[in-house]
Order: sequence, then C-alpha cells, then structure tokens
Amino acid sequence: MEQDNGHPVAQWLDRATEGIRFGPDRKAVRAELDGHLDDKIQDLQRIFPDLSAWEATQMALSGMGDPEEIGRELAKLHKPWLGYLWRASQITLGVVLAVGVCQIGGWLWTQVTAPNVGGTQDSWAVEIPFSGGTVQAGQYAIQAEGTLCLLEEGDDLGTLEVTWRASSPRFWESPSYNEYWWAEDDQGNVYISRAEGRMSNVLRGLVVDQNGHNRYREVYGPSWRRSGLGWWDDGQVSSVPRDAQWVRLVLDIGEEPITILLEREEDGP
Amino acid sequence: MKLDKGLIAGSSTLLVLSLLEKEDMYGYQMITELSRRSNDTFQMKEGTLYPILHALEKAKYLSAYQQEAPTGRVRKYYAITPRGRELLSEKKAEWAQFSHGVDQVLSFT
Amino acid sequence: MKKRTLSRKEKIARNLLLALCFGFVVWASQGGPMPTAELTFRQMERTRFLARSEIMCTWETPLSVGELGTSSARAVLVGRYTDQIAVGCLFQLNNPFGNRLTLWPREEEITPVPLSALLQGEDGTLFHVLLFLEVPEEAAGAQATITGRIENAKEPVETIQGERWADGVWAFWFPIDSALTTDGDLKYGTKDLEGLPYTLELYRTDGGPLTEQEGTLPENFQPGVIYDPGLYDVLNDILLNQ
Repeated sequence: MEQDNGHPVAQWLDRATEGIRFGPDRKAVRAELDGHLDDKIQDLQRIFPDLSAWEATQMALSGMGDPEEIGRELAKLHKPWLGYLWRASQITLGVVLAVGVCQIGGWLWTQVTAPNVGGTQDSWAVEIPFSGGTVQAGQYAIQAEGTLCLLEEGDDLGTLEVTWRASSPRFWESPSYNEYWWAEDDQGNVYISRAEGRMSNVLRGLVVDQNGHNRYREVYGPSWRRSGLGWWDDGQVSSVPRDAQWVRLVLDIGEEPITILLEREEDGP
Repeated sequence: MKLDKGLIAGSSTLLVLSLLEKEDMYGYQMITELSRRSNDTFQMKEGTLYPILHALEKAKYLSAYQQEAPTGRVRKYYAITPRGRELLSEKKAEWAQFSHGVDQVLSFT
Repeated sequence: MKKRTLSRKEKIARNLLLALCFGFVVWASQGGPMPTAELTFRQMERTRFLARSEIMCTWETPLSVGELGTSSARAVLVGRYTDQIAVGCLFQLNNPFGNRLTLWPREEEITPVPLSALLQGEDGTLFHVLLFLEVPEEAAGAQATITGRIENAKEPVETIQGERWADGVWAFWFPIDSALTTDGDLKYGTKDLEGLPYTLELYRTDGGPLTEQEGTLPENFQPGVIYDPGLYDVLNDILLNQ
C-alpha cells in the first residue's frame, strides 16, 4: 500500500511506469515496485528507529535509482500491442456470447410459449401402417412414413398420416415450406397439392364418400420443424381409399420430380 | 528471443539467475540476499533490478507467480526455468573463463 | 501455491476460438444467413431442392436499409435453367426468411416475367415491375405497354420505357399511385400485372424499330409463391390449423 504521505512515492511510481501504455500491465508493474518500496521503507525504519517516515521515504527512493531511466527500460519491455489484442479478443468473445444468449433466450421463449399442437386425432378405429422411403433431394435426405387411419370401421376413405423427416450436412439450412407436394395411388387417384387447393373453383381431387359427403383428395406438405440437427413435420394425405396398396408423394421441381413411395405393409381389414 | 543487450549481457543476469538457483524469490528479497551474500559489496540501484527480471521473464528464463504473504501483501515471485538453468551454466562458464584469464594476466610476471 | 495460468497469447487464441465457435452456433441458429444477395439466392435454391441455376442478372436497390419500406424488395436475381427461370426477390439480404422465389417456364422467344414483389424508387414511390428476358442484345431501347392494370380507369393503357439490367434482361417500372390504392372505384387489380395483355417494342441504337411482341403476361408458373416462413409464420400456421 502507498504511504499516507506517499506523495513522493506515488510520483516516483508514476514516472517509472508512465511509459507502459496497457493499463493492466502498468498497474501490475506499479504494484510490484510499490511493494518493493514499502518493504524497503519498513526495513529502514526497523534498522534506523530514529528515522522519520519522510526521511525513510527519501532514502528508499534515492536507493531505487532514476525513475526516468527505469521507466524507459520498462516501457520497452512492456509493449501494449499484445495487451490490446487480448482486450480485443475479450470484447469479441463478450459480444458474441451476449448476442448468442439473446438469440438462444429468444428461441427458448418461443419454444416455451408456443401452443401445443393439438393436430391429430387420438382414437382411430383402424390404423394400417405404410412403410416409407427415403429420397435424396439436392443436399437433403428426405424420408416419409405413414399410417392410413380410418375414423370408423366401415369407412371406405381414410387419412394417411405422414411423418416427414429431413437432414442435410448443412444442418443450419432448413428446407423451405413447399405447398406443391401432390400424390397419386395405385387406383389412379390424384391428390392435389395444397397450392392447387387454395385456388378457387377446383374440381380436381373432389370425391364423394360412402355417406354422400364431398371430400377433398389433398396433400398437406411439411412445413419443417427443427428436430436436433434435422427437421420433421406431420403431414396428411386426405381421402385415401382403405384398400389402397401404395401412395406416391410427388414434388415437381427442377429437372426430375422428387418422389417418395409409401407402401401398404399388410393386408388391411 | 531478442534481448536488450544492455540489460541481459551484464553480470547482473548471472547474479540474478544464481540467486534463484536454489530458491524462488521476490524482488526485494533478491536485493537483500545479494547484499548479504556479497557482504554489501554489491549495492545496485534497486529499481534497475526490475527491468532485468522482466526481461528475463519475457525471454522465458524465469517464470513468475503471485503469492500471498502472511501480512496480506501479494508478492510476485520469480522462479528459474530449465532454460534459465542452461543460461546460468553458460554464464558461469563464461565468468570462470573470464576471471581465469584476468588471473593469468595479473599473475604474469 | 503455484498455479499454471495461460499465457496472454494462449488466452487470446482461446478467446478467439471460443468466439468463433459461439459465433458459428449463433449463425447456424439463425438459419445460416448469407452476407450477399447472390449467396442468399443460392441458399434459396438449395432449400427449395433446386439445382444451381446460371445467374443472368443481379439487381440491388441503391437505397439504404432505412429508406426502404418493408413491402419492397431490396434485391432481385434471375437464374436460368434449361426449361425454367427462377426469379428471386429478396427482402432481407442477410436473412433466409421471408424471401420469395418464383419459377417461370422458359421460352425460345422473349419471356415476360412480372415480379412478385414491389420495388421502391428513390423518392419513395412503389412500382409494379415487369421483366423481359431473352431480349436480343441489339436492342438499345425498349418500351412496354400494358392494359388494364388499374380497374375502371378511363385510360387503361400504360406505356413505360425500359431499363436494361443485364444482357437480355430489361425491366419496366410501372408506378403505383398511393392515392388510387385506397380509392373505391379506381384501384389496382388483385393480380398486379399477371394476366394483362402487353406489347413490347424494341429499338435499335439509331432509334429504328427492331422488333415487336404481343401477348398476355403469364400467371405465376406455380400458383402462389414458394417462400421461406419466418419463425413467427410457422407459429401462426400452427395456431390457425389447430
């Protein structure tokens, strides 16, 4: 600690360390020299009890040497550049962490406050599994599997509940929401895309069920939700005949259409 | 490692390194030990010790750490590194040669 | 007690490495935003399972982010495939969400493509923009005439001079009068430029006529547009479909 009447000590220390430009370095060297002077002054007062504090201080300082000269040497040794770079690296890391925490925090908030998706029906009367397939679409591996679900035992049309999965080496690039998936089955039925379904006056894809109700044959494509490093979503193909043997999902894009075949796994009821 | 010749080349380096050969010390401790061992022959300007210590530390001949004393003061201790030991033996050999040469000149009659 | 601490250099290296790792995580969590319009366009191609197209034209607005309204695109890119043309309208450069890519059939002759986004002029006016692709290089000037953009207008015919964006790509900016959009009788149709009859006249450097083409502006190749939903769009969709 600097003496109460430490004015000359402080002055000496200032002159000896003012050449050290990087703050923390200057403080450290100053503390070291200050400790030395403290020890020295205490020793002097111990050896010469008659010495006043001021006299001891003067003796100690003169024994230290020329602060300017020492300061020059110290300044040459303690160049600030590495210190500045260290500061810069700390600030960079701090900024990135702060941004990261905000983003992750925001994302967590949306996960927590997102409403429960109440989508699918829990109790189907009949469930017929359809085995899925995987197809490569550019950088993505897309997989689909399905279950043909009938609401009642006697229904002739059901809903094919489809689970989509996708993955890519570029795991940060989510596939786009696409409304152009359509489908066909072994009976020649065509299931229109959501995009087509949005247009008015669409007659294609219309079918009448056993109760005389109008139903749409339509495909609800995936809107891709994050799952680990990949994505998934639930989709549907609506109004599929209970005895359908296979359903092929098709996306017309690029040179060749992307198709996934879902085949019935067992003889249904 | 580029050294300031004025600081490191002198015999001060030899003295500092040999002080730390057996024991880690802090700055003031070295000054008092130097006086004691040399029977007060060596009385360097104490402040000039620190540029030497810092230069040796930067050149990795010494390593340093902080240690708290019983009084509560935190002191910077210096320790010699293996590299420093090598330099020490070099300097010792140099000095032995030098002083032998001086002896020879002085005793030449 | 002696403890080994990292040297300053090691600390710097550690900090920068950590910053890089966290930075990557943050970047990836945002969907991997790309720094330029072209890279964003390439990303849009990939996420729509499209192959890499040959980029014919990149247009970026001279306006700064602050000056640009939210409803106008800041960059337009046109990419060519063997049988299709992809037109990307980017609203945010560094954000994969919210941008639009539309596909149009590619023809032998000059292909008209109405942009699916509005563009903003320097004075803040918004424009419906019509592109013509595969325009012969000899064309030094171009003029496009459309009819019926404004419903119930006394003068339904509009003619605009074109500006050349790139080899074979010409753009025609049709101004939107903000007074009209709120008016009852006189208003812009819901289809913007799609389905309107057009005439394109091309001129040589000497001012003489080069060629002329007539037709009807196409509806989008695929009805609706493919776009990247933002996080909130997806949530909205979930809410609506409950």
